[in-house]
Amino acid sequence: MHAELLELLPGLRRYAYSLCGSAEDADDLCQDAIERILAKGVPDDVLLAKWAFRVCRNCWIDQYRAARTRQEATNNPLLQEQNISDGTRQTENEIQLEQVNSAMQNLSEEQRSILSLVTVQSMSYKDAAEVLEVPVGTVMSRIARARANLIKYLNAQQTLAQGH
Amino acid sequence: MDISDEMLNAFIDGELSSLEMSIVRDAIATNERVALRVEALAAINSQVHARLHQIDSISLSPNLENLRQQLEASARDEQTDNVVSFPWWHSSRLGGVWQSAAAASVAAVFVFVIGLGINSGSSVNALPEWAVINQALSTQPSGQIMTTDSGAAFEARLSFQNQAGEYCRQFYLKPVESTALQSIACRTGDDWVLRAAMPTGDQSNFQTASHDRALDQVIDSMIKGDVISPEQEKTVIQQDWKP
Repeated sequence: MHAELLELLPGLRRYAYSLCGSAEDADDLCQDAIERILAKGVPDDVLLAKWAFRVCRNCWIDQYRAARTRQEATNNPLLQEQNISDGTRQTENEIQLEQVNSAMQNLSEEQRSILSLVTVQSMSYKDAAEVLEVPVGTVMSRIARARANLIKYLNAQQTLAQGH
Repeated sequence: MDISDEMLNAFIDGELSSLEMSIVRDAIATNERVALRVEALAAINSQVHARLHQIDSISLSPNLENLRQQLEASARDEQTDNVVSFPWWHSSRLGGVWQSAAAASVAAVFVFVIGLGINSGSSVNALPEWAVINQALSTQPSGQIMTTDSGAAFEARLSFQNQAGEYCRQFYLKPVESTALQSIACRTGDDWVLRAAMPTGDQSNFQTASHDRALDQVIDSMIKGDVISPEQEKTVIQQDWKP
């Protein structure tokens, strides 16, 4: 199990990053999830590759939802403006990624989770449904809504930027 | 025919049947709204991918790095325990029946190789990130798990010399988004050449003999003498695998 956890670590870290929105919190979450798996083990009828993501999400729900207000503060328009002025040396790509980051933080946890599992971990809808304990149809609708919301948010940001 | 957003997303994610895929492809070709929507969805997909991969370039926090090292050490112990159960490096003591079975397995493993689209003869670029693997095969001692820049897990499992006197290594590779492989490469000149590869399940790390019997038997058919010990391997690495 240790070797497999080691193998899963990069993907788990990206998933944690998608949930937390910051590398520092993602590493703490990832560590909590791995320690919980090591302490409690894995049920016999579950694949570790799926179980680990479920534990990670549960840890996040347990410990990090309370910190949501802090994350929301980072999305404060005043802070965003500061970020933009500080970002004059950023490359266009970095700015675009920052916008995606900001857009993702505006999604619900369910939508961020599904995007991360399907887009970054390349899970099938069926596997993602097992991790999130929802029907496949829910995965389909969540992912469609998540991407639609991201597009809407980024288009709105672009329109705002053009207006300035 | 209008196509729902859900269906277009499922198209991007490769979740549709071949019939549904061709319906969407036809719609992309004939309906500009559908084409633009697929374009936008694919673009956002790639941006999300890029954004979440940003964390790969950030060093692990000290606590997580510490945990990673503990996992690595435990994984090495697990591997050592399992390596003991591999029976095949005593092949020189096995009889002809076993060798015949091994010959049959060589064919089986190379079927896997062909199935993977790998040319078993000249296979320099047969596996993803071959340059990185080539380098890792030259420098990584067996039993050390390494993560490549792309996040793939690599581990040389053991080293041996084949009948031609070439050094060969069995190694495990798990690219981030594709099937894990157990493979064998041999040192020819200054480079490693892939000789065999077979897919292995994601759950089957540090295989027992029963899991990787086919590959073990290939090694049986190739190996001359015993497997190289860790101490010998250290020396051979220092000597850059010169026979």
